Amino acid sequence: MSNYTKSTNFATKDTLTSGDPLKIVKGTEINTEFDAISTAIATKADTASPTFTGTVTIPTLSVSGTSTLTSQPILSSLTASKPVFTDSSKGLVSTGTLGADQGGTGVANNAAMTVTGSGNFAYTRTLTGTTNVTFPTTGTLATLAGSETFTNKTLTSPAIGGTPTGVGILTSGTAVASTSGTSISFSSIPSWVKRVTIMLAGVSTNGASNLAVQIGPVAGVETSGYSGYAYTPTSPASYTTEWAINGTNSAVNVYSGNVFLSLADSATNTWVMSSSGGGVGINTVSIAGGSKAIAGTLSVIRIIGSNTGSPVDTFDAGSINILYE
Amino acid sequence: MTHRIVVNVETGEVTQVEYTAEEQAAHDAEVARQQQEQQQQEQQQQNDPT
Repeated sequence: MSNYTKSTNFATKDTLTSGDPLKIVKGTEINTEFDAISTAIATKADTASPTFTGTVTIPTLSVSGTSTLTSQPILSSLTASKPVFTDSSKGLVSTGTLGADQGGTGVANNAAMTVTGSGNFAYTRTLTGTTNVTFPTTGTLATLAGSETFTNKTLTSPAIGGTPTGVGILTSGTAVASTSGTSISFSSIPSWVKRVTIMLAGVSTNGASNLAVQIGPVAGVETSGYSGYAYTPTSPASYTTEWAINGTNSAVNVYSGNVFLSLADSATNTWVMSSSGGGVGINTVSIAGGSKAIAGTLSVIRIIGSNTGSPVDTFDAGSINILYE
Repeated sequence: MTHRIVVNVETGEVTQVEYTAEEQAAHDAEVARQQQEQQQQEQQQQNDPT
């Protein structure tokens, strides 16, 4: 690349006297000037679509249209206060740290930083070393309304607000009036349940069949394979189609008591039952116990008035609920 | 018509399910069978009070 430098000063020739040999404008002088102009022009960039070679220095660059970088730019002048571009897919590679004005470290940054996206874009930080994330000690961490699941977290002295639910929590079912129907079933029992308490409060039926409990997996209650014995002073008896909880009943009897079910062996889904309660009307106490392995995880419990495992009597008083944990 | 009550523990929903005609017939038969059985037992106890 060369610049044009004038070789002959033609203006001085005008001041020379006629006859001076230097006053003559020679063809060689003109030729030399045009050659120099031609060389200079050929080595300068055009204003339209120029092609540069070597190192191009631009003090200030303002781009109004689309810029296309066809090779990887090297941002060598970035300092620690400049942002970092490390996206190889975009051909941007540099080093440095995120500037304080972009929320990074360095100088003090007292301004709030907001990252806003208008679409469904994930925010992912992939780091290779030990990474500490420090949350603010005050303020609102998040306003996320959805449910979140924490894994492998240790809570030290947690103060729980509201009503906890789920595994390990004693949960109450919905009390239902046992004033009609031939059976009352509690379905969709969570698979993690290992103990259930059935509470019968002033329960009565229109017949003399035993109050009994049956259990089963999601496929339904099972009506055979029970090992159980119910003791009421006048008529103790064993049962195989249900867990009877009182050996004697009557239409005038009003029974109240608890039935406890415990998962004895999760490998075989074997449950153990024990119950105790009293009946006003026939005025007697009843105790019972038994066990049964069901064909799957407990899912349903049914309370009936029956001696054979099939619902017979109709409920006409009281309420029944369960607690599970 | 006879019905049964189902409480969904997950949702708390209480549903009353009416018996189908087949279930009603089976239920009526079972009630009759148990009543007959009970009557027989009571008769036996009367005949053999010991």
